[in-house]
Amino acid sequence: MKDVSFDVRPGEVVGLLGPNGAGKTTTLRMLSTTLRPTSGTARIAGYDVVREPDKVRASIGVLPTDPGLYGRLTAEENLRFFGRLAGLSGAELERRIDRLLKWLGMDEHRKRRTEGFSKGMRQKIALARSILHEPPVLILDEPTAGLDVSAARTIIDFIQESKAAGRTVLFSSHYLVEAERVCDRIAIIADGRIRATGTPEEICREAGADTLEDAFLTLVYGEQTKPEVSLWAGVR
Amino acid sequence: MGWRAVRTVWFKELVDSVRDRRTLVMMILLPLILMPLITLAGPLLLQRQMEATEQSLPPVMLVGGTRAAELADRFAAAGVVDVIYRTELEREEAEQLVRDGAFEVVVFASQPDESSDAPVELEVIVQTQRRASMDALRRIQLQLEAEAARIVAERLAERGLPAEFVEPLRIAGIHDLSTDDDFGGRILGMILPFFISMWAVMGGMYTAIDVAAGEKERGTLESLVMAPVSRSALVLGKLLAIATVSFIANLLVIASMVVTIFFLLPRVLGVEEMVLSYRIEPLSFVLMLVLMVVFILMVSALLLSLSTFGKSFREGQSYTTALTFAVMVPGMYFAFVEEIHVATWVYAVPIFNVLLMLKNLLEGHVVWVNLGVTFVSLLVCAALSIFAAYRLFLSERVMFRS
Repeated sequence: MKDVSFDVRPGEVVGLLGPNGAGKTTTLRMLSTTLRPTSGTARIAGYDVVREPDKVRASIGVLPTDPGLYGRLTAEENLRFFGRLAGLSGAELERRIDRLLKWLGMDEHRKRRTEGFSKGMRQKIALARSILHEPPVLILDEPTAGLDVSAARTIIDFIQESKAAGRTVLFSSHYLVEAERVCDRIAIIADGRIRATGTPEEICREAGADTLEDAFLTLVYGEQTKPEVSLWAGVR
Repeated sequence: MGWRAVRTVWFKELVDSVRDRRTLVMMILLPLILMPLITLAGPLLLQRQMEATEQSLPPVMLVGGTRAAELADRFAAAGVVDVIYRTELEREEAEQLVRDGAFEVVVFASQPDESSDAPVELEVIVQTQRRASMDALRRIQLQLEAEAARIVAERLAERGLPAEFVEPLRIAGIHDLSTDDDFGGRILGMILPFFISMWAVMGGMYTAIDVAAGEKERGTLESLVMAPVSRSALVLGKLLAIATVSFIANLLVIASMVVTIFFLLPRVLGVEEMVLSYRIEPLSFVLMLVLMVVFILMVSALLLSLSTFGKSFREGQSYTTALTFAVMVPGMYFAFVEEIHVATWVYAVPIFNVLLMLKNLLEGHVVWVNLGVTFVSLLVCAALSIFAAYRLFLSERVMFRS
């Protein structure tokens, strides 16, 4: 990563868009204090990720690429474990678990071990885990990757409801339509560098493109040229 | 680091661990079922083999003149070997017969003048690498000793000499100060330190692999380190889970070995009159438990470090298996070799000190300086091992190896 600098304002939804290997996950890992930057720093909810990692972790809810659930524990045991690590306990913890499982439509599966869950179900439980401690900032890494339409819809709803509740959301994705739909602003990243930041309209204007997809391709890969050969040339 | 977080991680890892069949096998099934079976199988098979050997009469040939014929008659009368007598046989032919197993032993007897006291010289052809051949030789030697004693008694009587003439020294009595408890302590001192040290490693091994390398493989470690909890709490919680599983496995091993040795072994061997008893001083017992706890903490921290270094369950397993051998080799040495007057510095060497001190405690011979050196050494090593595990948990390169 080099010269990566962007800001996300309170209550805003910002999408970090980039091709595979652009540095999205690395950036999010540095922000969530899992990786320590070799130089530079970032502040989340007023706390420095390098000097105050514990306070940062208490202020963020993270959904990593891999849901990372304990397969031999049930859905509610997974949530209870992470809730306790976040300092929750007793009736308050149980109340939050109930509410989240119901909202996600996972209440009937709460007693099942997660090793038998589908990807979408695991992602939902991981989502519940990320906001159990009701953090002001949410960091989601490719939250809809590999999900079916229904599960992806739940994630989008989750982002929109979180924004409505005044939470700040930063998420990475390479699905441009999805980003355009939910993001207030977008940061485009490629080869470890931020190429552009702004609203979708501002990005299009900066790239001189009509659509976000064209703008993305131009900013990431440069001017797009047509291949010199036709795909089906000479084929009958 | 909060104790609450440590306890949360500790209990979660325990639940997660006991739901894993591999941990249950190592923690419960092996100590309770397989270890007694292994312990009983050896003596039982040995006993069966000895009984089979005792009951059979090994074929033996005696070659020579009348003195050989006389000996053959005596052997036959004693019924200890199946004896064949021949007046003549070529040496090469005798060797071939023993080599082929047709006879276990062939004995050539000289024929001295009957009126002289010259000894009958015996040349024995035997194959010492064959158990049956060695057994036949042993029987012949015992029979020859009895025969020699009989001849000496006859000669003394002929000359009017008393039996004491050929027995200038005689042991009048042996007063054994060892008690049955000493014997029990010796048996336990030989077996238990080996099993305790082995199970300190094997008991917690799968839990250790599961809570570090296994978490990496399953992708749960990243979520865990993102939780608002310090790395030291994570390390300590995981360490306590490994140590708990290991300690329970150890207690089960001790219980199962004690029941096997003192209760099952005499019954399985059919020697219920076999006296095996044991009594340990309460202080020695407490010290033994404390020693086990400190050793298990040290080993658990080492297991956690090795497992953390592995990027997958399989890799974690390879690293932790190395530790099993580090304990097994000295464990077997001290089980079979009786070390007398061990220097104090040896008690500063981890693993060696546990094996020796457990043996000392079980046998009731503890030198307090050695005990002190053992505890200091183990505590220092345990602290260093825990610190190493903590440092590895802080290392991005190790934690996110892929």
